Amino acid sequence: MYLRNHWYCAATSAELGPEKIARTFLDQPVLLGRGMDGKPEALEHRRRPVRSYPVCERHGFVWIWMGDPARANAARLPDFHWNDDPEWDSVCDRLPIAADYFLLVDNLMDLSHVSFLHANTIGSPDDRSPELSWDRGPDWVRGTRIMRNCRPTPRMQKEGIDFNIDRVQLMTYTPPANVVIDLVTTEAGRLPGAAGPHNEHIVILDSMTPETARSCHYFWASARNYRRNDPEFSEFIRRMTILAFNEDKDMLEAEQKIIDLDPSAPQIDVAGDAGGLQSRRVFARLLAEENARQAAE
Amino acid sequence: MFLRNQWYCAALSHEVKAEPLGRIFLNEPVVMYRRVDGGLVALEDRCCHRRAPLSKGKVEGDRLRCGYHGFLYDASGSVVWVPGQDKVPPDARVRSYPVCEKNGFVWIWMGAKSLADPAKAPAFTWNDDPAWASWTDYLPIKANYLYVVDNLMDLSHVPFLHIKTIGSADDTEPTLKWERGPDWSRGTRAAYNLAPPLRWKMEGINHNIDQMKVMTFTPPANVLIDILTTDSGRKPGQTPLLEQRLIVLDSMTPETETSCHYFFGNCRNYKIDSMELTAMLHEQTVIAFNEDKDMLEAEQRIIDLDPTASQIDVMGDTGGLQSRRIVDRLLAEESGTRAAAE
Repeated sequence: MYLRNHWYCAATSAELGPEKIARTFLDQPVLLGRGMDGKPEALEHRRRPVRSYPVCERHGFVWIWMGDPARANAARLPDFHWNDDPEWDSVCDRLPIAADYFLLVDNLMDLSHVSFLHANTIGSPDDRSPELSWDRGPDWVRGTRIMRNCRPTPRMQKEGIDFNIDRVQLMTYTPPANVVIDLVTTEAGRLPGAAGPHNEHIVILDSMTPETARSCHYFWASARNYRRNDPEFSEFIRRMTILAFNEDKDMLEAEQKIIDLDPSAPQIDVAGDAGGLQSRRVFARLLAEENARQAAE
Repeated sequence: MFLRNQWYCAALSHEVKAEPLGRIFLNEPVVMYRRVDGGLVALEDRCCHRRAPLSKGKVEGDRLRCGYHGFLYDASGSVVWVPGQDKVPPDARVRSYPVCEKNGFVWIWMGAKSLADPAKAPAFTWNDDPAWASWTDYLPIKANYLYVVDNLMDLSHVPFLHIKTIGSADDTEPTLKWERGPDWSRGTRAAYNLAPPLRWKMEGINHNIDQMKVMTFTPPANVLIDILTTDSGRKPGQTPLLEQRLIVLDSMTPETETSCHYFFGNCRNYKIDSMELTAMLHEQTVIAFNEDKDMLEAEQRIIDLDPTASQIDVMGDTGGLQSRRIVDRLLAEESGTRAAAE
């Protein structure tokens, strides 16, 4: 079951040109393209008749509204401004994943996997006992995860960083399936208010759109406010991120296959799962509300 | 429906190392690895946390670490470390399966643990008998495992499907005899005066041959084929020009209803020191068994199109049908025992 009256990410701006792209969202075949005026368009991809979907382009992504067109309101688009903010440099891409999109929400809200799954890319071997806290509002969930005195990740070592680091990770979920991760990394042991040599602020924007119940489109951006105007470094970040996110893809697709073998097999939850579980609760509440509204109409 | 209280072949010994090997048996995901002392471990290949396959993880000494969030399992399947908290939840564990290793084959017990008796695992003794030369191999097949049993118990397919490898075009009028016990079924197939198949020509045999093949099925899905090849037309008591004994070991393990693992070996008691002959037999047999794989997978696809389509049986099917009757009887017994226990 999908939430319908929400904006879903449909494409990166760069993907859309005069050529039409066929893509499936929420089990619906859609044809995406740009009109003569350059504005993005989305049509139901059937022989006839066709209906069009509301679309909106913002901050380098094209968003589609799969629900009641009368309710489509651009004010409800997620804030992904970092992707085209002149103060930030950003790279973005799309990765198709043959797994339930919520497995990816779980993944992004529980970063305890980074040290293991991403040991060769963006994980630190010392990231085993972070401080974790959780906040939630009616329509959002946020985790705060603090790593201290960890050896630099392989990505950072490739940049020549040879000292230990501290890192704060803020993971924020908003429905239907957006996760923004704010990462602030400094040299280890910096005191509050003090300045230091290493100041990394990266914002990872993630938006997952279900294709079917067992596959999704993963749209992501990695924006940074340091080493700006350095295309070589941007390319390096892009390559490392693609490498790391393909590690996720590989694991999530394997996880989906095991789940499909026996969907009734139980699983246990630990402290790190709080964010994913709370996100699922927000989603379930909104789904119940949407269904109730639909039943009433 | 599969028989559960049986030893199923899980791997060839050399396949299981100090790194995880994931396979699905009877629809259940299983991960296998070796402990430091060389002993075997078989666990449910599904992390109890987020159901990621543990086979994508790493072996650390006697333990297995999930490659996703780092859950650490001991060899009994209990979690001993989880990320982000000191206390391990008491129900954090996966199932472990009894395994044993005999004659270069690894066997797994997918049923009730209390009934697992390693003494009852098949003994493919020829495979590590110094008087015999052997090799083993493995093929995954996208077809029901009993189609492989049918195939191996009815060797009338050999002159047709394997005409380019191990079949002789003359081999269409054998004498056939069937025997059965409560838990086995055996066919004896004698064929005379056959032009040598291509594979025998590759051994330098250019004269006609007689061949006696004894095919023995034992449950759940083992077929042993004992093949005696001699020069044809030999009178009783006469010294043969040629006398080759070749034993083909076959064990099929269901992966799902429509796919299986096919483990096989080939043991001979002649020219046992010839590595060249071993390599040639290995290569030619794998080519021949891929001919089977290709046909069985095509057969499965046609069956899936309309599973109710009828089929007719001929004489040669006796062995396969008797073998299926044994499996059906044991299945009924197993479900009867389960019903009585519940």
